[in-house]
Amino acid sequence: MSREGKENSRLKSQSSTIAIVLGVVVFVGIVMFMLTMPLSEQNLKQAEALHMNRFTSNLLISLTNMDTECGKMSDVMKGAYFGNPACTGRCNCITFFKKRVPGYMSVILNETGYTNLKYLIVLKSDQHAENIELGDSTANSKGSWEANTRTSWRGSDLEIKIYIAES
Amino acid sequence: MKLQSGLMEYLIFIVIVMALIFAIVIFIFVWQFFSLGGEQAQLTDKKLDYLLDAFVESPVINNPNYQRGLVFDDSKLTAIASLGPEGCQMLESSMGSGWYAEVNISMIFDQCENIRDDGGSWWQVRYRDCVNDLSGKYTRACTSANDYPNCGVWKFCVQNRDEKMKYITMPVNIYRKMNNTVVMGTLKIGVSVQ
Repeated sequence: MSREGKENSRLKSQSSTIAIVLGVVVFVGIVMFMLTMPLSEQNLKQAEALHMNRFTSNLLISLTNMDTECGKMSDVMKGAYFGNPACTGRCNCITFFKKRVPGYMSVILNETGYTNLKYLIVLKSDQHAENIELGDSTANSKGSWEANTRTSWRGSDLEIKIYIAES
Repeated sequence: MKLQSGLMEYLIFIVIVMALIFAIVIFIFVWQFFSLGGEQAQLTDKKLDYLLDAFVESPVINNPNYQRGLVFDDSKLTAIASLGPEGCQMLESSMGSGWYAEVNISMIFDQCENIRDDGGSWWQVRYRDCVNDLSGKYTRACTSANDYPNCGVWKFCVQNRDEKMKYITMPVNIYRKMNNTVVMGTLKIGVSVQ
């Protein structure tokens, strides 16, 4: 083989090696990038889910803690479920619950900037078969956020549950 | 002729290699930029979470009779808000700096106590009137003790507020000391995004 031929062959072999190395580097870079992007998206989704869980929990606690003309909201809910004696004064607890709570929810969701959310409040007890639901029943779906709290009245437990979902 | 052609191939190869290296460098910079952006967003979220916890646990503004959730005491809120920057420094000493917070009353029923539910359609109308009446009264900021209790907005660390802030808003309870009632409100916290 002539000297020129040897030189050409050396160049070709060198260029092939560099091309392979570069190809591997680019491939690894692209794969890592592709793997990292979903991870960061997942982190963002996790942060969002954590925030929404906290929001839902705070919303339920704030709602049940608040005082109304018919007493504390948790008592109104007890009255709505177990009957008027559980509710303060001469209020019709079930009517109060069904007519006023949507107004409260609308104000608070609006003020917190979550106008795109739908909600479902469920009152249920292990001792009774009947559930009382208020809001959009489709809010209890896959991907919704939920929070619950328990209270009792005359030995009967009442579970107050709230579901929040994007509408 | 063959040597010239080989040289040309070599030059083209060098140009391609340079272009690839340049592309890789650009790619790494873009990647770093996005990663840093993501990390920055995570740090901001963590700071917001921390501040929210700090507000929940702060005995300076919460009512000690309520163990569960955020129940701010309106008299404590007014006392700190009326101190202005000094009040901010007091909160910053336990919560860190670089944030702005605002507590708002959303609903209050101390003027609606005579309204009872008789189940008729008037109920909704009365409710709306009540809310409208109150929303006007309680949008006033509590900047001094003289405003209390006819005010419903408390602002802290206003001097830290800027346009590049990320906010979080949570439902909270506010204890109205004058009426001994708990009302519903919001806590809005903002932190600076670099």
